[in-house]
Amino acid sequence: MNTLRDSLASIPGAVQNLATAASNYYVAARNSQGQNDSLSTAAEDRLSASSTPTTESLHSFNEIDSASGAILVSEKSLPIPASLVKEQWRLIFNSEASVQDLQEAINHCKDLVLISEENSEERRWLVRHLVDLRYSLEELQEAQSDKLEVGPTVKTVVGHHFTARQRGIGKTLPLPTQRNYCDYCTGIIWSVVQASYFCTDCRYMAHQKCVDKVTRVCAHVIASERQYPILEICPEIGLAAQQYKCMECQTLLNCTLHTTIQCFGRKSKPENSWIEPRLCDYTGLYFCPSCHWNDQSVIPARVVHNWDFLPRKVSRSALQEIQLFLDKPLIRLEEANPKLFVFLEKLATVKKLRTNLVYMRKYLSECRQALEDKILETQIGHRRYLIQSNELYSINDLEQTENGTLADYLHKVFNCFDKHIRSCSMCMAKAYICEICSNDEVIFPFDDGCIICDMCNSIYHRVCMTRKNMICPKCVRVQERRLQRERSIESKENNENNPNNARPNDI
Amino acid sequence: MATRKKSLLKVIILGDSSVGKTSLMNQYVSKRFSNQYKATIGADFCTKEVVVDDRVVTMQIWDTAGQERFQSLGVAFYRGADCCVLVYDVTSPNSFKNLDSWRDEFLIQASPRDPEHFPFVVLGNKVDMDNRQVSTRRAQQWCQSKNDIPYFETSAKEGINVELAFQTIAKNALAQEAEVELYNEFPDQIRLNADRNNRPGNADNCQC
Repeated sequence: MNTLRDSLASIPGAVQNLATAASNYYVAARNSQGQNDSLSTAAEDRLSASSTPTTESLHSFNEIDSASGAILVSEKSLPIPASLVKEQWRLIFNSEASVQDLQEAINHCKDLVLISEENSEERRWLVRHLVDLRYSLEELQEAQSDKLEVGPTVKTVVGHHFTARQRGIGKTLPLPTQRNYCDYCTGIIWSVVQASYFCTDCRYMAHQKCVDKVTRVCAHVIASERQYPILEICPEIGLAAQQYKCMECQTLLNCTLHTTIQCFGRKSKPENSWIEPRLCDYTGLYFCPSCHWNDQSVIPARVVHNWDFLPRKVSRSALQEIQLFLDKPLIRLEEANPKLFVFLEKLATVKKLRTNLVYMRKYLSECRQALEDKILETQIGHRRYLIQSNELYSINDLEQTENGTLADYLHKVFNCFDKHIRSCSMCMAKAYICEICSNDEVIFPFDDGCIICDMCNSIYHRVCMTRKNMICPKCVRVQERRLQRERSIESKENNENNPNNARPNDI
Repeated sequence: MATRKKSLLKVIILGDSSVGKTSLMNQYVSKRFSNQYKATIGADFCTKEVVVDDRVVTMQIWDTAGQERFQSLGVAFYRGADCCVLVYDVTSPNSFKNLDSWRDEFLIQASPRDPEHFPFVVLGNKVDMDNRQVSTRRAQQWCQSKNDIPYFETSAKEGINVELAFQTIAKNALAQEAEVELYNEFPDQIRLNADRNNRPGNADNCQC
């Protein structure tokens, strides 16, 4: 039942359609599917929940949709024709489907093929889908003959730290219910009947039977060796330089195959295969379809140089690598692209907020009350780097800058810090007083209308400083004192050279 | 004598790093001394009840960071100080030379009503050490040239002269207090405290 709900939830629009098509369809569904009680109860549940489509319920559906957006992208099937959307829940399946589920889906698909119009879009889709389903069934039946016992729970292969995933439906699955593919053989991992492994570092997934043959080095290892994401935009070298070979598995691209290669479980026929070279936008290298699944991802280099967040197609290894870099504060954006801060107001806002928060952090980390209240921990937690300096950004930070959520978040933190500092007597004691106007009103480095001397860190009102022609009075004093000291040392030296003029030494 | 009684005396201890500001305060407040050096970060205060001229007053002693890198924050707390203690290390001539700049900076930031007569006290600390480099005469000369600042030679380690020095500090702070009251019915010093009292829930929030 859960399975059904999830597969249903992953179809955008399906639920709404169901809700509007409501009862007619429901009766039909019940008649045809009467033998399967659990199925129809699930449908009933869903229908009764959505037959009164309040804004609230619609809202929650939308959330489901956005949450499962990634799943939809990874589903390799063609988009389903709109007229078939309401049938989708009976046609689409996931890794937890059983042989019975698949057989039912095949039968249903066959029925639909027969009633669909000739040469229509529906029929084309249905036929393709039927083929897909039959392959899947074949694969699943094959999978059932796999060894059932699970090997060791932890395994280390070419840098991956694999953890075993038990067969069967467990509540402890690391990923939401979806179709999971083996990164090695590209076949579906039938989680009900097959044991599998996933890498806790890079999320590489493989069948138990494939895990020992894995050749792709763990993306975590690559990422830590590289340290920074590639910051050249798609550094392509061309197929010739790659000798027409897939960068990862060395399969000859664009040529007749010598060995059979599997593409999503389907064995390609050697005689007429044409291996499509797929360009990875991150590495600029070409890959074969089993190493490059047309996954889409934000490209760090494009963000940094072009402020371009459009997802591009990347190889599996690149996808796994980029995902490891997403949260890491590694990008010195202002060094790499200083103009961006001038062009983009959002970015300038975020920078200003971060600069202010860096000043505030100094107050909070010295304040006993703030430490006791754990203000820093609760407000900023693992994103502490945001207030350690204003230089480093992660890819996610930049994406959140673009959509405005980072500025909102930092504003919230700013307000919380500000509230503490202005109500804490210790923090107030460490405020500044503008020595130019000597007004009793205290100022802080993060106040608007204040200016900080880069040399001595003194703080003045901007207006006062302008009145003084931007010359910091404290720096002038420090300079004078230094000159005075130098002069006194000089005169002392002169006296020593000139014993007639020598005065008795003070010490 | 005065119509308005102020029971809180604010004392600021200034001086170069590692001259013994924190040690002097600890010796005075809790009679403890540790040989281990731990740089003070930012500023913090301790309070101690003292009896001066038969009056019980609370001394709020502000210990500050001498190291420049820990002086990253402002010094608004200088305002409203009743006495400033300048500490140098008798084994370090540089710490003595810097007394001038500490004094000047204090006067600018605190901007007292009468800078010429603001009560300072100079302490030459670490007299228990053998390698003394600043003579008593030189220190006394400097103090005299600055409007006769009282001068004490102390040792926070041995507890030499600490009690006496702080007694003088309290006395001078109170005297300054009295003088200001004679000048003005509403002394400047109250302002910051009044500010603090206006904030709900923080009026009596002792940080010690």
